[in-house]
Amino acid sequence: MPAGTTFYIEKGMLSNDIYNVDLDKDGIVDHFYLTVRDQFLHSTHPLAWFRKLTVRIDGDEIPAENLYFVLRGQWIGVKQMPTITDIYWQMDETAQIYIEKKNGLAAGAHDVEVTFVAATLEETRGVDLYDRWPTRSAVLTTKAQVRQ
Amino acid sequence: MKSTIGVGLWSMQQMIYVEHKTVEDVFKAVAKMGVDSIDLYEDFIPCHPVRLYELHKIKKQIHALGLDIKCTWFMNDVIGASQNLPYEKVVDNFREYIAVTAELGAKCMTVPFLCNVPNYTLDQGYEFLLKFFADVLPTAEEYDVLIGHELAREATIDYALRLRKEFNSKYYTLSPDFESWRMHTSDLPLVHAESPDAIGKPATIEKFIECLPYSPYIHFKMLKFDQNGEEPHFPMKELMQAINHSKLRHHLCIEYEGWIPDVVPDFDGTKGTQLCVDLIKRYQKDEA
Repeated sequence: MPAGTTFYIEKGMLSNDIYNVDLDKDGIVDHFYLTVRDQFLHSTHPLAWFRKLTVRIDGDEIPAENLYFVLRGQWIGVKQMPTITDIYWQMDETAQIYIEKKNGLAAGAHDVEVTFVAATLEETRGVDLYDRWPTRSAVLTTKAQVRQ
Repeated sequence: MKSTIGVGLWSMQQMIYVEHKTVEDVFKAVAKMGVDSIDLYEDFIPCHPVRLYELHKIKKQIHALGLDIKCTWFMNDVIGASQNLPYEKVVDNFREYIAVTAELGAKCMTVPFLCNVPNYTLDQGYEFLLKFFADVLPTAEEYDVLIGHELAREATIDYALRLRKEFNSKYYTLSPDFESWRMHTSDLPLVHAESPDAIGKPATIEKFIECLPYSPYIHFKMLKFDQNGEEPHFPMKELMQAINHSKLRHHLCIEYEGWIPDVVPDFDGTKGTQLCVDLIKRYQKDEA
């Protein structure tokens, strides 16, 4: 069990690139995404270890119903993440956070803030499904550039 | 008695997180350090879910480098888990970790002694662990894997000593972690992620000596070094004297932790781990 209170290595966790995508291929961009890397200390966890995930773009919080955590091609709505007990995010593995938005994000640089709220229960397989433990937050920020 | 030395891969994660090297690269770096084993920490073990071929692959990679796997470590809080999972599932998870450890050819599985369920006392935790270990020790015996109960918090030591007496089984052992003997200093306050507002207190050397006869595997935590290559945050001289004079041959699993953000993240973690190896060997040589 580590010394100190920090529970993630921030540098390199959040990509500096945002991509607009047209997932349904109707000619109109419908989502954008960014990439996040698992650099938590004791990094391997089921997704339910995260009790909450929020994203702010240029200060505006994205509604949860428009947010998806995509791991190895599996789309999980962030509202459902706290129930996922046997899909594991592995050490140093990348995942994508997709945001549903018609026309995507305007070209240029944007302030991105991603917050993972994790339980303090230190147990890989026995996640805090009933939110009994205190939580801690990993707040990741970057100025990201839209790539087409 | 001269101890064996292993590098716990917790020490080497800067290579993964900062340099984005592969796990095999990490094994190769450890192989140059002059130690006996690589001690696998959960994130390096393909066990969620268990992937048998991958388990055998990392075992072969480590053996090909002339090293053993002496112990594993899993982030396991059985008391906490029991609040969220059926008891039998908690027991089965633990049994699976034992089987994974055996599959890797390791002789010891270390797990933390944790009891941080809100409003739950260590006395209650002790009663739980009495039942729990009674249920899992037959599996440890079946697979011939020692359980090393990691003592990284001062408050848990007496409870683990009581458990050891209760079971009197060679399969329930203690794994003292130097974190329990770390001193509160201005550069590194004695606080922890699961209880960030609480300042801890270090255990005594006498308590370390009391643990030693039951502690074949010791977690050799080190954080940062002074100009002489000494680690001033722990009573290193006293700890090493006790280990060197012990009647048991111990395995010292290095857990260099300088790479984490609260310590010295800009210092090269591989160099830091090598400094730990050098420090142990220096103390071994002094005692010889």
